[in-house]
Amino acid sequence: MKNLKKFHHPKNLKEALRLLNKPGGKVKPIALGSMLSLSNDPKITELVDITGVGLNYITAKPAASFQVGAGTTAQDIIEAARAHRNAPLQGLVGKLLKQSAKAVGSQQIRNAVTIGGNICGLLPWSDMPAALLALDAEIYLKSIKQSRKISSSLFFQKHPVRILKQGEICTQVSFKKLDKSYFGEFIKIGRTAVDKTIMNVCVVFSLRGKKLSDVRVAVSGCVTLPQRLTGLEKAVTGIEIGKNLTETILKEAFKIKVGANGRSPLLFISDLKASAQYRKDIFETVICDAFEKALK
Amino acid sequence: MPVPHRKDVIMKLNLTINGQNKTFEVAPNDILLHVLRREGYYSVKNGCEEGECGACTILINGRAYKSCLILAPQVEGKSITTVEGLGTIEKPHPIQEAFVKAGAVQCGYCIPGMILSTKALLDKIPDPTEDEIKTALDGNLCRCTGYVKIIDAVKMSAKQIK
Repeated sequence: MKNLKKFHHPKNLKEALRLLNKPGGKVKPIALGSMLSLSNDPKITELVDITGVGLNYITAKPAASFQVGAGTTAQDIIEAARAHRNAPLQGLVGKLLKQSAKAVGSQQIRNAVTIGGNICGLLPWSDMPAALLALDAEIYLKSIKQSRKISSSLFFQKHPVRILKQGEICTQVSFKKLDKSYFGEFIKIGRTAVDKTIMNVCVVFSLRGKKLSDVRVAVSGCVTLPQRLTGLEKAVTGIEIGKNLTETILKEAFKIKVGANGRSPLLFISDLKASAQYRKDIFETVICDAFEKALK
Repeated sequence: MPVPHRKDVIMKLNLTINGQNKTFEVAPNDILLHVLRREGYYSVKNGCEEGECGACTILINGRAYKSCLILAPQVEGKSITTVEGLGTIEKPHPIQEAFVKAGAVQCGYCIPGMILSTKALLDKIPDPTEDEIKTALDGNLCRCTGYVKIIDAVKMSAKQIK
């Protein structure tokens, strides 16, 4: 950021949004900086520190959902989801958010990465988007001119940079509570626990009797954008546990990976950590593991 | 590599380092690691400069962060702890003593970061499990020791502080 000239410390959200409302991508919000501090973007001339504007919170009001402020760090989420009856994050939502937050880098990085930054500055190795997709999270966006709420599926359809309008920031992520019929698991595949991810999978489903329903499967880290595998979700809905579930998951995930006529709808990525071929090779096995772990 | 200083946009940075109020002149794009070393806090080591090694770990308001991933103006009004603020050669901090006694120090480059990560852990969890120790130190790389003695040192620190 060789052209950075100003660093603002607004006292409240309104002031921050007013400062951010400038055209041309010259002004950016910064929370704890783990992503922007290494940026080489010469366009950025001003930064607005949003750590002091009240976006670090976790509440369960209204009672049917959890609201996580965009400035809440991965470590705050882990601590909020500790097994304790007064913990702010409870149940399956707490478990999956904790698993995805734990997948974020090392201790010092978990202290710095915020949920808002992880999703808005989306990188291939961002760990939280898969959990947000599988939990059907709603993302609250705000600018000086308007406030809006969009589903996580819509938010990740394009890179969030293209979703966010001028001067708009993410202020909150909201999760509906899931009852005890729901199960789920988040898995990160990386060379080490703290290394950048090669593949993230998050599965959520409800068991009605022995049958799977409301199945949600989300992947990230292996493909260009985090996404739900709706074809797989439909294929396994209604299947009974133990009755060819593993085979069906493997077969359907393989079908999605290969695609009709050999043209996969998924664009697997290659980087220093793993090749696109490696990611393709482990794809259906990791998804299957997530289902099996969820059922345990 | 440090980004070239923009001398035309120098700003004042007020913060507390090791309990002392300080004011530095910084550019908005100055990385905190470089500012701290420029001001004489040499315990903050310059390792990878991309958030991998943890040699530049400092405590900000009691939490461990990698100072190579923080812009200096972000710490305006905050309280920073470096190893210089923990103990002296004559009167080392119990964590520093434990690292020496346990034989956890070889080349020593990673140790200031390890000690601060240990302090952040023990301030929060005075009697950590081995898993909690490993999680707290997972951002600090050591290329010499193999970590066994370091984990021993953290356990010894916990006992000494109690």
